[in-house]
Amino acid sequence: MAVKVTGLGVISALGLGVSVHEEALKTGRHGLKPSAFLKTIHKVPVGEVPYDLFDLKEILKIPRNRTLSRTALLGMIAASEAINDSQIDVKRYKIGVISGTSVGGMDLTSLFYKDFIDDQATGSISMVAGHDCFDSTQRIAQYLGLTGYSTTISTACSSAANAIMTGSRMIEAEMLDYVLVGGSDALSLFTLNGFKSLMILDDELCRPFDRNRKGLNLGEGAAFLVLEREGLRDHRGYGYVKGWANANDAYHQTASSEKGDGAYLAMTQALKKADIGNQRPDYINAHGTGTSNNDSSEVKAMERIWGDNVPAFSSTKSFTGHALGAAGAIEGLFSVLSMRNKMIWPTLRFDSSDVDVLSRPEAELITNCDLKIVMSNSFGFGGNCTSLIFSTDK
Amino acid sequence: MRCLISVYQLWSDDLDFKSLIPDSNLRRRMSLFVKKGVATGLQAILRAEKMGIMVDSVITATGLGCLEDSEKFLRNYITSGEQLLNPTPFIQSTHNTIGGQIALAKGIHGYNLTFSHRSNSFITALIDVLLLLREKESYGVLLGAVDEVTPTLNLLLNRLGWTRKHVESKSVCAFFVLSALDSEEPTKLFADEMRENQKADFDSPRQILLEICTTPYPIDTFPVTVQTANYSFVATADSIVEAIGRLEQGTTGVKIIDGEFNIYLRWHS
Repeated sequence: MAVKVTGLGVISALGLGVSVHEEALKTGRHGLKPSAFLKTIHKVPVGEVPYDLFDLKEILKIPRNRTLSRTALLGMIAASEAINDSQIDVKRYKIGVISGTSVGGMDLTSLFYKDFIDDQATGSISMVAGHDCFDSTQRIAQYLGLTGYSTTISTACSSAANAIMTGSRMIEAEMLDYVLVGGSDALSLFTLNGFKSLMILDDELCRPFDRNRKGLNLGEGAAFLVLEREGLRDHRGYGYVKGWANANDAYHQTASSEKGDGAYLAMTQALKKADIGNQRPDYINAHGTGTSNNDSSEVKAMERIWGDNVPAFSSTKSFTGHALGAAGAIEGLFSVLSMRNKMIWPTLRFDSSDVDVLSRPEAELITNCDLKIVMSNSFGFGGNCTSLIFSTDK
Repeated sequence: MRCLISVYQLWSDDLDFKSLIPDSNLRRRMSLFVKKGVATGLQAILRAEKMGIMVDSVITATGLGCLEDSEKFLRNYITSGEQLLNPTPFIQSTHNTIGGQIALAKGIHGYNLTFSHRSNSFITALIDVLLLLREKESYGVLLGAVDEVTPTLNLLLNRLGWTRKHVESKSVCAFFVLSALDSEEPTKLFADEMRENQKADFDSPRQILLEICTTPYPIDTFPVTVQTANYSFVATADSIVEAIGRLEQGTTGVKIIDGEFNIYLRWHS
């Protein structure tokens, strides 16, 4: 049962909407700079969505005084675009919502806790009511009037990729006809300080896969895809979710195994699921965070599969930063856009590969390439590794 | 969709952290909540192994994740002015920490997912288990419901007025090992290994057949009905635990009503 992609929506440091993202990816315009809205002592570039909370509420046409986390707002905006794009009648069909997020409403919880820490009777309590992962998913469903099956997945940086996988599986099993899948995560002091304490933030612009890479830049955003069972209605669609797999590295809570066991398993099993014989993906949108450990492990896993003939790959985190729980959806969407535009997105600021690997990522935009099969990788804390395969054909 | 429940294991004080989590470095970094969750999950896996059931996938459900570690890290960066932070509470704060640590402790490379959807966390995780077994992507799945209620959570729920309107949010640590029916043997990974194992002498399991469906079953086979109480901030497996308790007391079958889903449980003969 083919799983068709019929709607796309995205917001990230690059701006709002699919066309803005296409323009940025084509022209090499990244969104990494010191934060304007997140108040922190750390002088690091981040991929911050260029709108404050009031701007986001204005975009959604909701009252300025409503308390909503940035994660919920970003999710609602990207989900609206995806649903509109799919031209689906939400009143007529039961549409499911499966979303991924890592820290949910932590942006507001963090502000709340600052007051609460001094006096437990203070702090605006509504700011913490949307702390859990469920909140943003529920807000999206309510805002758009979606009444189908709903759940939230939280597997750190692979959350949204797992949401896309879960929605695809439920459509394949005919448990759902239509489902909105993706994820949302906002920048917060919690995650920024978390990655800082792990010493994997680059003080400068991140350089995924480069020999001199120093770490990641944190990002934020949301992206959603509308998936539906092929043949339900007349819609041209953007392509298909053709394969998926979820595996565990079972090596370390935060670090990846040297040879990328989990990544290898996720990629090989996703290829098997896609049932494409000996065909290679035409392009891989890699996890490529820019940390020494991830990028080395990911390339080694790819070389275990394809040797010195690794497919073209790149990391678009060099544009957006690492949007954690939303990254898998943003990059899944970029994978679909690469097929639509017949383009391979570049890895910005890449110069030279590690000495112990054979492969190098694409550093320049490649145009006019007929991409039929595109893979997207997402790996996270807890050893969670997920690979998705998108295709132009059923 | 249906499956067999071979093991259910609740946290209990007689579970020994040291023997279940022998790696002292791993153990030392874990909060009490994570340690309890990991130990309970590992105990469930051990019991399943004694029945010849190999666990190759781990699915957890949690409404709020690791609250103690989250709060510790929040407090640390706020009071320290974002400086000189210990990363351990951050590392252990992700919702999938327990699922990940169980995979790590047992070297389970298979499917691993964490659902976090308030009081629907567990039912949606259970649906995913059933789907995974139907896809023949797994032989044995460890399914856990884990949540910790901290003093801060209670205080906040009080301030929200939540405690007056809804059921009490309780800490939960419950694990289950679920597998496909024999006739629905899996095709991959451990199937051959399992066939070998089945020749050996294992404890004969007394299994429960669980089925989720939308069409009602004959009432006489399922005389007891358990209504899932909502609505809480945390994942709850209370209704399944209660249903299993009723079966153990001699009831022929139990029906659980959980929102739009009907879950039927009876002994598997």
